[in-house]
Amino acid sequence: MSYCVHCGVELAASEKECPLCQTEVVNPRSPWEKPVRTPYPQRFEAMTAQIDRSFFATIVGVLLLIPLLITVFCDLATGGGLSWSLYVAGGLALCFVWFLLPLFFKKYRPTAFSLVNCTAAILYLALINHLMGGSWFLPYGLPISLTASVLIVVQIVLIPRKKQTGLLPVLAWSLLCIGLFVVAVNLIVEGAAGRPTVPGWSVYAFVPCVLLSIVVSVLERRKDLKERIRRRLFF
Amino acid sequence: MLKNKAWMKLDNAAKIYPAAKRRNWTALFRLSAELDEPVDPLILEQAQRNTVARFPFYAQRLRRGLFWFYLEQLEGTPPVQKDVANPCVRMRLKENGGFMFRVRYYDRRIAVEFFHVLTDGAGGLIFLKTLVAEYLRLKHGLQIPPCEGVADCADSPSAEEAEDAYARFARRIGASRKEEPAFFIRGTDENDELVHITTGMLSVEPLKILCHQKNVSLTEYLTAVLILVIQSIQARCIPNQRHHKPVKICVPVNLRQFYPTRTMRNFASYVNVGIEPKYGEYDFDEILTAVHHGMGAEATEKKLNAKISANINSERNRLLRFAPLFLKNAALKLTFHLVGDRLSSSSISNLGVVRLPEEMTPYVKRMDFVLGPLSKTRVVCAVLSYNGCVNINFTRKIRESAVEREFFRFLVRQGLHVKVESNRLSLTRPARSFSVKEEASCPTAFTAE
Ligand SMILES: [Zn+2]
Repeated sequence: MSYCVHCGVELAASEKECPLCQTEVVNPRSPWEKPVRTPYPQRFEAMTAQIDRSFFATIVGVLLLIPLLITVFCDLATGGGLSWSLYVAGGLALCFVWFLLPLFFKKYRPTAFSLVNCTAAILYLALINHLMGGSWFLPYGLPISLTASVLIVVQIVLIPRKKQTGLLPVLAWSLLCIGLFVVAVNLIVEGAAGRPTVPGWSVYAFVPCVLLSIVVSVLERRKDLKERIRRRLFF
Repeated sequence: MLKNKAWMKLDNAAKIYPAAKRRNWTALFRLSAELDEPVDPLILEQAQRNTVARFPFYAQRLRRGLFWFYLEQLEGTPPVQKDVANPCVRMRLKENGGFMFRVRYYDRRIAVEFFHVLTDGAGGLIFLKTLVAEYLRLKHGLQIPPCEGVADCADSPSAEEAEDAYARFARRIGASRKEEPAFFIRGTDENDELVHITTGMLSVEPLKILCHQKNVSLTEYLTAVLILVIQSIQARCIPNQRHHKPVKICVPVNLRQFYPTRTMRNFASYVNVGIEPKYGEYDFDEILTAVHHGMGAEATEKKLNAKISANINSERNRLLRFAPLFLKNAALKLTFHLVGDRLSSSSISNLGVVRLPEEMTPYVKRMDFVLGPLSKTRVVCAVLSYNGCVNINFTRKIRESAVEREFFRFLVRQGLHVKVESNRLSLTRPARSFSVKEEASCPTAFTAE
C-alpha cells in the first residue's frame, strides 16, 4: 500500500506513478512491481481514420489518371504532339494538390497547405501563359497572384488564433484583405500599363470594405449587440 | 404486452446524438460490475441473449427516414467483446452489427457501453443489473427475486418500459434555453483514441458526514468541489478577472423521480449550476451555497418540465418537422457545434446509491459508472455508490490532470481517505510519455476560450 507524497491519496497496486501528479511511487520496502491484475487490459481500441483518408486519396488520385490518359492519348492521336492536353494535365495536377494532397497528411497544417496551394496555382498560370504564348504572366498574372497568395497566407496564419473568438474577427480580417487586394490589383494594372501608380477606381471598393471591417470589429466588441443579432438569426 | 413493433421513433433527448455523432466520436457511457471471480464469456453470452430478449427496445438499429432518424428492431445480439484500455472512445455502429450497445468483459468485470440514443444512465443500470443477475443465475443457479431494479428475464417485455416519457409528460409552455457560455477547460489534446480514466474510491460514510455538516446532498458537495477546482484553474490561466467566464457544471437530473413512468429509454434532463468568478473569488462555502440553492431552484419539476417542453415544442415545429433529414441534420450539427456543451465547464453525473438484491451482493464486489468523452468538454466526471464505497470516475481527453488532482487533493484535505486507480498502465505506448514537470508548467497549459 503506497501513498502519493504530494497528493496524499492512496495508490492502487496498479499505479507506478501517481495518476494525479505523476510523482513516481518510491517505497524502499517494496519496490513497485506490475500486479497480476491490472484495472484495464492492454487491448487498445484503435482508430483507423488516417489510413482510410490516405487510402481514399490514393484511389481518387488513380481515378484522376483515367481522364488524364484519355486526353493525352486523344491529343497525341489527333495532333501528333502534346498541345491542348497539357491544360487538362495541369488542371488535374492542381486538383490533386488542392484537394487530395492534404489527405495524405495526418495533421491539418493550414499554413503549409495554403503555401503549397498558392504555388501550384501560380505555376498553373505560368503554364497557361506559356502554352498560349502570352505575355500577361510577368506583368499582371504573377504580381496579382503573389499578392493574393500573401493575403491568403496572412489570413490563414491569423485564423487559428481567432478561431476561439468566433466568426466575426475572421470576417473583419477578410474584408480588410479584400480591400487591400483590390487596391493592389489597381496599382499593378496601372504600373504595368506605364501609368503613374496611384490608386484610382479601387478606392470605391477599398473604402466600403474597410468601413464594413470596422463595423464588424465594433460589433465584435459590443457583446450585447452581437448576442441580439445572434438571437434574431438563431433557428 | 409489447407487440413486436418493427420500428419506433427516437425519444426527444436522443434526437441530437445521431446528428452530433462523428466518425471518431459517439456519445457513450459505460456501467460496469466487478464480480468475485473471472467472467465466463460463454455464460455471459447466454445471459446477454436472455437479457436482450427481456429488453427488446435495446436491440435497435439506427435508420434514416425522410424526415427523422428512427429505430428499427434487430434480431439477435451483438457478440460479447473483450474489454479495452480506452473504453468509450467510439462505437462504429456498422462494426457492431448495427447494435447501439455492447457488453464487454475483462477478468472479473462485466461492462456495458451504451450509445446515448438508446437510454440514459438509469436505464442502462437496470440493463446491467439484470444482465449480472442473469449471469449469476446461469453460473451459480441463484434465485434472484425481481427487485431493486433487477428484472426477471422470464417476464415478457412491457410497452411501458419503451415509452417516450418526454412526449408523455411535456406540457405546453417551454422556457428559453439561452445561457451564457461557460469557462472552457483547455489543455494538450490527446489523440482521438486516447482517453484517461482516473477513479477515486472513497467510503460513503465519512463523505456523508461532511455533506451533513454542510447540509447539502452528495451531488451538490462534489459539484461544489469541482467548481472550486475549475475556478482556481481559470484564475491561473486568465490573470485578468474582468475576462473571467462563469464556471458552470452540468448536472444531469433523472426525471423518473418526478413522474410515474417505468420507461427504460432516455428520461433525464440537466441543470447547469455555477458561479461568476468575475465578481470575485468564491470560497468553498459560498460555492456550496450557490450550488445548493441553484439546484434547489432549477432541479424542480416545473423548471425541468419547461426545459423538456421547450425541446418538444421545437421538435413539433412544423417548419422543422417537414424539413428533410439531411437539412435537419445539418442544422442540428451546427447548433450542436455552436452551443453543444459550451454552456458548462464540465459535467458531473451521479447515479446515486446502487442497491442490488441481497442474493447478489456477495458476488458483486464493485460497480462503476464512466462517462464517455464529450464532444467538446475535455474533463467529465461520473459518480456511483455501491457497497459503502463512492467511485468517482474522471474521463479526460487532455494530457493535464489538474482537475482530478485538485479535486482529490481537496477531498484529502477534508480528512477523507481516497484511493486512486487509473488506466495509465494500460496506455503504455512509446509516444505516450507524460511530463513530470507538468505541475510547474500548468498555468500555461490552460487557456480560456
Ligand atoms: Zn500525486
